[in-house]
Amino acid sequence: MNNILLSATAIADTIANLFRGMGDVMRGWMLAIPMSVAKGVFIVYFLLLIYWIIKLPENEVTLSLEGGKTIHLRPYALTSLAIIIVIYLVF
Amino acid sequence: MPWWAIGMSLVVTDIRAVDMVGIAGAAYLYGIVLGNYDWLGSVPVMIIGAFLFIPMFWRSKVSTIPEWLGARYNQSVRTISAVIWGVVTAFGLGVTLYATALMFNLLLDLNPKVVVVSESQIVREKVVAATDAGKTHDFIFLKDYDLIQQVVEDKDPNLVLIHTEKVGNTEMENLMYSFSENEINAEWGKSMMDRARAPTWSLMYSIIIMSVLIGVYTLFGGLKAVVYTDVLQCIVMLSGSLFVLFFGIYKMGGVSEFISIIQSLGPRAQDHFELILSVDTATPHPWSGIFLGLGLVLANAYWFGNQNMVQRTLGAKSEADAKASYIFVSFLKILIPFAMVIPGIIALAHNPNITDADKAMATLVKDILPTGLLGIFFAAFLAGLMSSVDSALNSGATIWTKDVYQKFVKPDASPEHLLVVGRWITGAMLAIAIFFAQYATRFESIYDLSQTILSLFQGPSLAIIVLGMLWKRATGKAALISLISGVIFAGTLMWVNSNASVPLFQVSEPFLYVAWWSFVLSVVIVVVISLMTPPEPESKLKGLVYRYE
Repeated sequence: MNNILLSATAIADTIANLFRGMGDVMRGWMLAIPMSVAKGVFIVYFLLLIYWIIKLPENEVTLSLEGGKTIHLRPYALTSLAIIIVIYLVF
Repeated sequence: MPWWAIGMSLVVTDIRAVDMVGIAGAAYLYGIVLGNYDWLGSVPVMIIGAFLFIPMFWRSKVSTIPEWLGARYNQSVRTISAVIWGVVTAFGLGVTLYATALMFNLLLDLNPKVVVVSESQIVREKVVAATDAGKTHDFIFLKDYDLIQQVVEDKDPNLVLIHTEKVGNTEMENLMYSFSENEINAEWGKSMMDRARAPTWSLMYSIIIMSVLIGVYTLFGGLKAVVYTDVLQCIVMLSGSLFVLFFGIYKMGGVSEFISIIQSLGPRAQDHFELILSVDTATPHPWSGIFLGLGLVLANAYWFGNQNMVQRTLGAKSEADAKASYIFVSFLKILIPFAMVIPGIIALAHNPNITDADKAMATLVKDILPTGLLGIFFAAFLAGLMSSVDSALNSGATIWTKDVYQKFVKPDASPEHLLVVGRWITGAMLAIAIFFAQYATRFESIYDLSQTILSLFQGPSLAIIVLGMLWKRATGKAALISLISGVIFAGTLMWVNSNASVPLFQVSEPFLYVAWWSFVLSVVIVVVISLMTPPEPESKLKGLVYRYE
């Protein structure tokens, strides 16, 4: 049993060593990013979504429900994302 | 079904009992960073889903995600995806049942108890670690030996351990043992637990009771019954949880008092109000993993590749209702961290000595809510449980019945026959879930366990869905190889991480990174192999690729 566990560790170590060098380099890059920039990445992601929603064609965001009532989804989607941006700015 | 009913059903299905226990537990340990799972992991994703993924599924008239994969790629992709999803659903159910039983036992005070009398916090922590009973027993810590008789009478503990500094010349009664700090080790802990009175109620009993109750309820209802009961459950659950938030902060003396208590806890809570944590954080939630693993992979896979969720929208009255339901959910999900995450932090401020973080929410509500309100919370909790279990059972049974049984065993089966088979499958899934539930105790946090299970296949699954929907050149052969290799790669990363002498990832529970890297690998495989294989016929792709009618 001990031999099996030892060989499992040896195999795991061998595979881990294949990735570790590359992983450490990437981790180093990530660590170098200041926290304010990291927060900016989240905000930019939300802003890109806002841009995409604004650019969507009208027929994809304004639709007729079953009862015939028309619903405009764009303002709701934009409001939702705006609230999230505020939350990420606060925390 | 109308958009508002589908939306509320989606929310209550997503919150699940696991989340009510697990998110609050994880927030107890790590703080508001757990809010990312809704604010990043749901809100933007629901909006992308509303305008991109859901209309595609809805227009293709499929009833399961594997069915869509079958139409877009080939039947092998459909089958493998169905089997993976069916197995994962059963495992996920096990975690849900375990979470439920944990909460059920705590709220009804059914857990066996260990009383530890010691003034030293270090000694208390050592005792919990040595006995390894933090998840199975409730620990009651006493500073004062004089209170022991009253606690023994009130709580009927299974074991009482008294630090020698508190004993003096007192005569020990049955099940009371004295100890000194230097004898605390794993062997001592085991021998003490061997001497403890056997519990009269096991977590397993609660798991089985819950399974039978909800299994029967799900067996005789369909998707429609599930959705409309979810509407009521959503209202009860959200109002119950938000009440805990307001009442908890009120009992603490207000928001500023609450924040100052957390800040006074020192290093363990210094990041509890930070939504974005450094890459070298000791928690499983570094910002890089949150953004790449959660925001770009797990969240999208969860909301678009998850039969549990998509099945709701596929039953919408119209495409407009399907889209509107997702936008509605994006609003409701803004509230969820206030109802689930902040109460976990309140629990920390209320009692920083809880031995198992997953007991945080239950301990909080039991301690602060008056009996009547405790009943409301219990109803809210049961609502979450019923919804998550019935949805998982319903979607899992649909996949096994339609994508496996009907396809391979009896293609000409009548709807009545499929209904009977679906019920048998539901029963079998419950049995597997009950079996798996007992292993859930091995993880530090239920939420981490649940995310770990999902991360094994969500990356590859999302890769083939996204590329299949957005890139008409993606081929069936490439998707098949990508799905299989991606899942094997994710499993290998997990295995290597836990077996290597030094863990591969420098973060505890690396599910976010595993999801991200298995997604990246799967995307690369789909692209490379697609370019090496003949394209799919144009006629097959119409209506299945974005803006390609």
